[in-house]
This record gives sequence, structure tokens and C-alpha cells, in this order.
Amino acid sequence: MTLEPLLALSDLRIRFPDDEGLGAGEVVCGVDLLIRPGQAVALVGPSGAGKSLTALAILGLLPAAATVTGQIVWEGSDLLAGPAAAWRPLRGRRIALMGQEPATALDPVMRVGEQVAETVRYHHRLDRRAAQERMIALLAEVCLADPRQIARRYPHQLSGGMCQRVLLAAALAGDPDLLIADEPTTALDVTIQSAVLALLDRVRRNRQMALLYITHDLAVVPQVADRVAVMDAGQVVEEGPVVPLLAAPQHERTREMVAAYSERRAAEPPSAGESVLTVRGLVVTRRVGTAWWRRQRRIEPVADVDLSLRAGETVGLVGETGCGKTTLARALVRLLEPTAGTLHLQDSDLLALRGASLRRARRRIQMVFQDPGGSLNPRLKVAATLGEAVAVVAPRSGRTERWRRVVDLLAEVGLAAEIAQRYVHEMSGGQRQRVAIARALALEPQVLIADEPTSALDAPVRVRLLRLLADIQRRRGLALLLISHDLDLLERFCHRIAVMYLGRIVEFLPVGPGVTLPQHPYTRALLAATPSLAAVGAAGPLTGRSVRSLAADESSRMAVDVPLPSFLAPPAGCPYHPRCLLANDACRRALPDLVRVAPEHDLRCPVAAQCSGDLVIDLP
Amino acid sequence: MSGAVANGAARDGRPTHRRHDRRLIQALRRHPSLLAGLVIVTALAVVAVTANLIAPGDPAALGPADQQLVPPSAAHPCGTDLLGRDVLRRLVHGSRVSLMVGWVSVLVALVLGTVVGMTAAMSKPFIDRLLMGLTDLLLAFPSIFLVLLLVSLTSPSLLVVMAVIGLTGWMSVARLIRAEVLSLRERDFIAAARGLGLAPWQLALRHLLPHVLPLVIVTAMLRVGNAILLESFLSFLGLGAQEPTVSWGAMIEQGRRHLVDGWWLATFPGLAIALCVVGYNLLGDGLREYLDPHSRTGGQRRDA
Ligand SMILES: Nc1ncnc2c1ncn2[C@@H]1O[C@H](COP(=O)(O)OP(=O)(O)OP(=O)(O)O)[C@@H](O)[C@H]1O
Ligand code: SF4
Ligand SMILES: [Mg+2]
Repeated sequence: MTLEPLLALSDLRIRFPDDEGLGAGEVVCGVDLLIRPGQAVALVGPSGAGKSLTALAILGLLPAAATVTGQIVWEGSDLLAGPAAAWRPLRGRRIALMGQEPATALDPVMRVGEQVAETVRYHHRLDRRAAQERMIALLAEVCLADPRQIARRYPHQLSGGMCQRVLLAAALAGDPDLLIADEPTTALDVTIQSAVLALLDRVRRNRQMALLYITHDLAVVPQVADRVAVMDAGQVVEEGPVVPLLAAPQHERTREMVAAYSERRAAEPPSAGESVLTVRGLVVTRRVGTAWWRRQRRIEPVADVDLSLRAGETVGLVGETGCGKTTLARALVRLLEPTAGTLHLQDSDLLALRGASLRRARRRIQMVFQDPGGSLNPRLKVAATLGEAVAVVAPRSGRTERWRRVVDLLAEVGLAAEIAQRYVHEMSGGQRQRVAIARALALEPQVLIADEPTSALDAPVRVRLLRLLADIQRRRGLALLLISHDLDLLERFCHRIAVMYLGRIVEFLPVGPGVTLPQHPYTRALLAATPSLAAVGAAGPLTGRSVRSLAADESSRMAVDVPLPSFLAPPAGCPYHPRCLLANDACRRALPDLVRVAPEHDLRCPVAAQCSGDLVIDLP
Repeated sequence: MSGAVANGAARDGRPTHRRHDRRLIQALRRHPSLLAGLVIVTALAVVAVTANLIAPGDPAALGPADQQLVPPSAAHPCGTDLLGRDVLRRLVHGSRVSLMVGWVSVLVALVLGTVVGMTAAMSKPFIDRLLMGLTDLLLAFPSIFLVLLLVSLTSPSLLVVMAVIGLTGWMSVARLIRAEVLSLRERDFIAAARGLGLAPWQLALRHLLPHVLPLVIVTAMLRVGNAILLESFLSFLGLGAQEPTVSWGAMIEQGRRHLVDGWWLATFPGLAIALCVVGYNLLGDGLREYLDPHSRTGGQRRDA
């Protein structure tokens, strides 16, 4: 590669005024970065590393309070040395930005086609007619089927993935040489994310456009970039070609990040004993549309769910957003009243309990909420929050006794005692999550349900937290239900995984050496879409190499352009059939049963059960 | 994600007292109504508490015969009444009655309203509907009609007035509190507390009440003015405070017949009532803006 660099950052420093003596200071401290024409560079780092600020600096869009020093050299001329006006001809035409939040980047009251056409006209000075044609071509380029019809829609009539495609079309309107994509898929489901990433990769190759892809998720890097720059605390700590760098990371931060994607919990399946929690045929009905002039409609976010958890066992629950995972979790701890089904905690029938006996039983099954900040009372200090939980188990304990217990709990979740004096807003996401876990542990439960305990956290923090949960589980013999949308993560930390689709369990499969492979087309599609570091040999057993061959298989692809069906109008028959490439007439007529196809392996798809019942995973 | 976010978090570190004070001063500057209300209400409270110091003497004692119906002058800034009593002294002492009636009746209404509202929101739908049905029924009557009815059934006295104003004012408070608790119940931290197995009363006292308190305080301020007005009205009709207790409403009633030859008799108590009502309303409105988490000055992070 002898091409002249398109963009070169050298010793880029960004500092904010240190007002109020609170120490903001330098947030980007000497970044060097090279991007050659047509090259795709990923900028990876934990939140707060300064990635987005670096991107904004390249576009000259930093807030006025920021002071920038160093060099931003675009095709040989230093932009920082010139006047601010030097950026104007570059923005959009040469360097385009694709933002973090599709929802806010599009104007809600304007048809999406017009928004793209406007950008086209701004950059190319075309007349209305020509701009219209160009806009349709752009929408077609980003793989929106029927672009003319989509162009007439408003943003709220599009799904998240479609909005993201429209944004990409708008960013491409100026035919840029460099596209900066700032976490464009963070808010999307893995299935849609993988489609958007594939599209981004194809578009950039076709156009020979350079790409700066900003993300906190190392796992997506092999999919989109040739080179990767790892950023931490305002500095690029390591830079190089993706595969060699990730296979043999040099810097400690990089090593830590890569490890976070490969660490696996020691697989020690619990003795196949009695189950602690048994759920049979659970149904939760909710009413939607509370406006009085509309007819109220009922949806079933949880339909006929069977589940069992043994002591010492971790069961994962995975599924796309809105499939009913949280609703199921809340029903299990009886924060929602199930409409039908049974719920047994060891021998006691949880659904039969009322009043004080229910309150006593609640202790034994605890839940950690999806949003740890929201589940802690903002007006209470940590000490009060935990003290309250301690008092539930030991109502007659004295102040010092309770305090000692609070300190013990904090230590158990790896927090220092001084955290006890903090309020919610004074803690980081990871700390909040730990406090929420400590509160649940205070009640000494037998079952712990963790609803996406890690989705808001950076990979290393996420893995540290899961390791902590696994340790606590081993020590206390807890049954753990781990809810997540990250299948790679679940299979590294769970004994069994339940896959949920539109309120139903479609597959319940064991994880580990010598067990059957996932067979449900939806599970396979999820697996194929889940980003992992398999390319450098770091991934869970399923997302690892042995299953990669499955990705080419017809059954693991999914019609992603078919939007996720709504609970208001569930498809007849198998709920997955509109997106399933194996669907036949029988699937459209009748809902298949969940049947046992192998030890501990349940499947709700007769077609897959027939064609590949004998696949067994080959683990080292 | 971005460095900017991280900075925001760093800035949100532990609040220091210095910064608290500064925020209060900022809030006062940004919400002038809060400042004006605070000044008026504080001044009135000081006057009421120190009435015996700043205007010594019995406000009901007859003045000298030659001092009857004297217009405002240096000796009597607000003039004297038919019995030769200093109007200013009577105003100062009358403020005690007004404030007491205002506060006590509002306290009664708030306690009742909060209890009913919270109970309704936390009970089964059947009880909720029963309580709210009752509330709506009472709310449907014009409150002035209820007040007049209740007062005329008993012999007029301050105590009755306070009780009646309180007993007829709780309904709207109950509705407000119920709505607030219903939306709070959807928040995760309430669900989490319920998941711990806390008893309903623990939930109410420890988690719900502290969050509805700002709303209760704002409502209280807005209603105190109203209650003072109502008390004056009752006293004006002769249904409120009886001689020798001094009340602004009663003073207006006495001045009503001398609007021409003794304009000061009704004017000054009228102004006092107006000032009082305006002061509490300003304070209530200002507090609402200040405590409202949506107005960006933010009081929502105040430490409980
Ligand atoms: N309070 C509610 N009233 C009515 N419907 C609701 C309510 N809460 C959630 N739903 C609906 O129930 C369905 C399942 O929601 P749920 O929160 O359980 O999904 P989830 O799998 O946890 O999603 P995510 O991965 O985004 O957390 C969704 O369609 C949602 O719109
Ligand atoms: S039952 Fe039919 S539609 Fe459903 S997943 Fe299986 S093959 Fe696809
Ligand atoms: Mg959820």
C-alpha cells in the first residue's frame, strides 16, 4: 500500500475548560491515525474513551468550548492550521457522518425520501427531478426493496434497521471519500445489525470508499474493517491489521478486551437433580391501547412457556427485543399476574400465595432489573437500599449488625464499603448493577433472575460481572436465569439456553461438549448473526468454528426484510414462518409443539427435527 | 460512548454544600416568581409571629372617643375604625388568624387527600373505584355550597371554619396524589421494592411518600392562598371568626357600610388578603417550576 493517506491525524489533543475545578481537562490526548483511500478502519474502545470526540474533530464539529491541538491532515493540508471555513466543502461531500441514533437523526414530520433528496440537491445542485431519481437510486443501493414506496413513508413507519439504511443513503448522497459511522448499529437487534453491517461492507467495497467505523463492540470489527485502532482513555494504544492484531494483542487493554470475548465459565453442569423452579404453560396477557376511545386489545407477550431451573444451574433466555423476555421474568417473580399456567418454587405453588405468605416467598426468587439505575430508588443512599433488603430477612437486627451485613454484601459483589454513602446518580453503570445484585443477594434467594444484566456495559466490565455472578452462583448454589440478546455471551456462561420468539420458547437446548446442535431455523439465524471473535479463534462453542459452516446453510438464513411480526397480529401457525426460509404449508396452518428431540433438547419445528437430528458439536 | 458523556458523569460527582447553595441562588434568579413569593410569604409569617412586638396592645380594645373613623395619618397609617381602634394594629393581628386558618385547613386537606389518594392507588381496583367515586361525587358539588352548608349547621367559630375548609378541600388533592402514585408504581424501583417482599405500608412510607412530597408541598402552597380567601369570605358573611377575634374578612364586612366616609376600613384588609393570596400563589408556582424535573434547572436530584 503506497497510496497517499486520505486522512492523517497526528498528536490530536482535545481539552475542555476545567471549569468549577471538577477536572475535565484533556479527554483526547495525542491520537495518531492514518486512513488511506478505500480503507476501512475500526476505532474501538470502551465508552468515554474519546472515540466520538475524535470523529467530531475530524469534521470540525466540536463544541465551541473545546480546544483542539495537533494536526488533522486531509489530502496533504492541515485543516486545523487553516480557517474554519476550510471544512465546509468537505462535510458531506468528502467526509460524511452516519450518526449514533437513527431516531433523532431523521426529521419525524418529513417523508424519508424528501430528506434524502434534499441532501442530494444540496450537494449536487441538481433540479428536483434529477435529485428524485438520484434519491431512488440511493435507496435502492442500500437494499431497500421497493424504494419508491419507502421514500413516501415517514420515519415512524420504518423499523430501526430501515431507518439506519435511510441514514446510510443520506450519508452517501454526497458521494463521500470517507464515511464516518459512529456506532450505527448499537440500538439494533443482532439479526438486523448483521444485515446492516454486511450492507455497509458491500457498499464501501463497491464505491471504494474509506470507512472509519466507531464502536465499543470488538466482535463486529472483523466484519467491517481491515485495520483496527484500539482506543483507551483518550489514546490509541494499539493499531494494526484486524486479524493479526486480535489474534496476538500486544497492549494490555487490547488483551483484556479480546479476553472478554473468549472467556468461558468452567463448564461444570450441575447434577441432574430436582428443579428448583418449574414453570408449566405460563401465559401472560397484557392490554394495550389505554386511550378510552380505542378498543382495548389484548396481547400475549408470554404464551405457553415451560421452563425449569435446577440448583447451581445457569439457564440463558435469548430473543430479539420485544419478544417477551422481561415480561416472562416479571411474571416469574410475580410482579405481573400470569393469566394461566403454574409456577412452582420447589414444592410451593407460587401462584396460590397471597398477602404475607407471598411476601415471604418473594425472598426466595429475586430479580435484577434490565435498567439498574431505574430499579434503585434515586432518593436513597446505597446503605439505605441494601439496609432495607437486609431488614426484610432479619427484621430484628440492630444498626451495627445491619451495617456489617451491608459491607459484607458490597464486598461480595466486589465493591468498597464507601460506595454505601453514594446515591444512584453518583455511580457508574457497572457499580449500579453490582448494587442491584447485592440487594437481590441480601435476601438469600434460591433463584436469581438477571434481566440483561450487562447490556449497557463495556465488554470487559460485562465479563467481570458475569464472572462474579458465576462465582456467587457456585458459592451459594443458586439457580440463575440469565436474560440477554447476546447468544455468544450466553453460550459461554450458561448450561442451557431457551430461545424465545414472539412470546414462545421455540428451542430449549443444552450447551457444552458432546451435545446436539441448535436446530431451529431461528436459533441458527441468531447464531449466524451474532458477532463474535470466531475469526481469531475466540468465541463460544456454538458461535465458534464448528458451526460457522452452518452459516452458509440455507436454514440459518433469515428473511431480514420481513419485519418482526407484532403481538397485535401474530402470524397464524408457526410464528416464525414469515421469516423462515424452510417454511412449508403446514407451518402456516398449525403451531408446532415443543417436542423433545434429544436429551434436554426441546424443539418447536418439525421440519428441522426431521432434516438434521444427528448433528453433534465437535469440541476440542 | 463519547468523551463528552464521560465528562458529564464526572461533573455529576458528589454534590458539595457550596454547589447546593449556588444552585438555590441560581434557581431564585431564574424563577423570579419563586423569589417574590418567598419574600412575601416570609414577610407575612414574620409579621404574624411577631404581632405582639410590632403592634403591641389589644387590637380589640376600644380607642378614645375622639379617635373614631380617623383617616390614615402619621399616627395611624391605616386610619382607625368606628370604635377608634388602629386599623394597622388590627391588620397585623388579623394576619395570625388568616395564616392559621390557611395552614391548618390545608394541612387537614393534604393529610386526608394524601391518605385517600395513596390508598386508592395502591388498593385493588374495586376499592380504588369506590374511593375515587366518592371523591368525584364530592368534587361535583360546588365547594362553596358544601362549606356554607356545613358552617350553617354549626355555630360559627374559627375551629369549625378550619375543619370545614379542610374537609371540603381534600378531593382534588386525592386525585392528584393518586395519579402521581399510579405513575410511580410503573417505575422499576417501586417494582424492585415490591419484589423484596415489603409490606404495603413500608412501600408507601419509604418509597412512595418521599417522591410525592414535592407535589404535596407545591399543592399546599397553591391552596393556602385559596383557604385564606375562603376564610375571609366566611368571616365577611359573619360565619367565621367572631368578635373579639380579629379577622380580615370581618374587617371588610365592617368597612362595607363606610366605603365613602371610611374607605380605608375595607381597602386595607382587602389589600392584605390580595397580597397574601398572590404571595402564596407565586411561591407555589415558583416551587412547581423549580421542582419540576422537566424544567432544566433541575431540583429533582435534591437529596432527600
Ligand atoms: N406495560 C405493558 N403493557 C402492554 N404491553 C407491554 C407492556 N410492557 C411491554 N409490553 C409489550 O410486551 C411485549 C414484550 O415486552 P418485553 O419487555 O417483555 O420484551 P423483551 O423481550 O424484554 O425486550 P427487550 O429485549 O427490548 O428488553 C412487547 O411487545 C411490548 O410492547
Ligand atoms: S415450523 Fe416451519 S416456519 Fe416454523 S421454524 Fe420450522 S420450518 Fe420454519
Ligand atoms: Mg427486556
